[in-house]
Amino acid sequence: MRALVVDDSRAMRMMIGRLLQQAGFEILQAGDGQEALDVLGGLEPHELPTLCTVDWNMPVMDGLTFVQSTRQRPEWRNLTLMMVTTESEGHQVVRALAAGAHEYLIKPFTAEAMADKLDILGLDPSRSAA
Amino acid sequence: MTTIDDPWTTGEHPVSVEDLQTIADEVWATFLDAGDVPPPADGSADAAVHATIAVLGSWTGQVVVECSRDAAERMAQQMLMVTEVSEADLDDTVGELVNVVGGNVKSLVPAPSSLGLPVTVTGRFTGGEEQELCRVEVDWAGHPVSVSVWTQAA
Amino acid sequence: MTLSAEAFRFVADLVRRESAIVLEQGKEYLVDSRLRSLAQAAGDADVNAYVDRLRRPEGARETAKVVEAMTTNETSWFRDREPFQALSGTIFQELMQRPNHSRTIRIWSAACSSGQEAYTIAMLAAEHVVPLGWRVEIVATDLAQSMVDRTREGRYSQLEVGRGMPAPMLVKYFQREGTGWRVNDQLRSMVRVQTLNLAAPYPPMPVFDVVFLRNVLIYFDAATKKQVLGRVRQVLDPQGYLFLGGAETTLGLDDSWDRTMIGRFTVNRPKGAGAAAPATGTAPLAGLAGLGARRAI
Repeated sequence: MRALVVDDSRAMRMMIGRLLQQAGFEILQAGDGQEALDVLGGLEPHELPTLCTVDWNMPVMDGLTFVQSTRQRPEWRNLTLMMVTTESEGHQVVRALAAGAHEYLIKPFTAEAMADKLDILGLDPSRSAA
Repeated sequence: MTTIDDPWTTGEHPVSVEDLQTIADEVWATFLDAGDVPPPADGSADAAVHATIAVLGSWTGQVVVECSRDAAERMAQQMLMVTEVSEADLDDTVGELVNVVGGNVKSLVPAPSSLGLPVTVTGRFTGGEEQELCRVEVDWAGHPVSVSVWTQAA
Repeated sequence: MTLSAEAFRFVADLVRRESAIVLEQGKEYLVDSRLRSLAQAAGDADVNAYVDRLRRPEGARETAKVVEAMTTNETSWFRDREPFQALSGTIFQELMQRPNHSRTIRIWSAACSSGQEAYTIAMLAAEHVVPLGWRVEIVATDLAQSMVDRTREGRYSQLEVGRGMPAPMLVKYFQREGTGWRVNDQLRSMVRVQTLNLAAPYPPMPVFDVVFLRNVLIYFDAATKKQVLGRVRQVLDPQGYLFLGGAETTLGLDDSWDRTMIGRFTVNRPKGAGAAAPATGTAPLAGLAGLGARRAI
């Protein structure tokens, strides 16, 4: 399984990437929404990631726009999209879900909270085997 | 008698010290392990780094994270898993920390407001025209990190 | 630091006396980690020093805090998932097929801690039962007054709601309040909260259709376990369901229970209740189901 980690902070990409790696993902990275679209666009169907974690506030293209863009592309319909952002008002969570995000993790978060989200999404191999 | 709705005298400003402390404690407790970090050496607090992020909208202000350069380097080492820390690493790490604090502070102020992108600068934050609303300190393995919220003077 | 054997024995005795919960040898790490913040708050260098304080006359003030710290579990929403799938996918449906004039389902969340289990049940009831014109009454009890107060308040920090809560459920049933979130009025109105010591005789209780008694028995010795199961049996409908924790069983303790499988999950029922065995099958959890459906689009 592959995961694309979209965040403008390299420190945050490292942190999220580490947690996902421990859950068995191979990690791809992008620093903003446009770069993420470019990464996805350059992949063959069988190379596409299972999961994208998406920051909200980024330069060039923000995460909400990225989520909306991917939802319009039928060839990416199997992507699971999880916002991972410091945007923490209820109405922002609602907006992201309405735009097509499947889950929403608010920063700061613990390793356990990330594992719980993967479990909810059916993407945690260690837990789904139990 | 006139009623003065000055938030600084009524204590009704949107971000309380308790709220800011909760946010700051949660950020450092979850993202940074203080376990193996040595306490500050003498004189290590002389050089400072700070990062700011703007909240713009119904409420306008700034959130600031400030610490010694030494502490910032250790945070960057940990988050980026590197031994040598570049200027870019430092900017990125402290910038992301203020971003996370800033987003949570934004959820406390009147909506709609939006968050800017973080800016990291060498030296101490001076405030300029703005007034400090509240300030808390996080003790990260003995390294003091200050987190403060500023807004336009009334 | 390591907790001295003497300090461990003192804490274990104290906790056992106050709550009937047994801390066996090997749980030293638990005592050390749970009491560390209390030691800090009291200004003691480590947990050994804090236990020394407990032994002195002024230590009596700290007793309740120690018992609470030692008997509180870290809880998350939809904890372990399977029990809640069995509840929403099978048991609710089975209960609503029975003749029931009051159209009310009663559920007990025993040892509710800070309330995550009770409100998880309330969320599932709001999704699957309330829209069909049925009521769900949840009684949540805990030994510790502070946990009862917390459950009643229904306020959770950002980090607490981060544990296992699907985002669609968060925004549907919680409101942002300060730096955390608060359970909405609908869920709060479904949950009644009170203190209760599982190891002592119970006050008058309604007859429950379902009892959640998860990860509590592990703390009791065999005799107390047996007593607790007996008392629970008294307040459970003869056709009711008892949920225990993953490592807990009635086997070898109390033979008045049967074990029934719902999907891959084992639930305990009073002997003889099996006659009305539910049609098996687990529906995915609400919220989770929605996600799955949308993902397939």
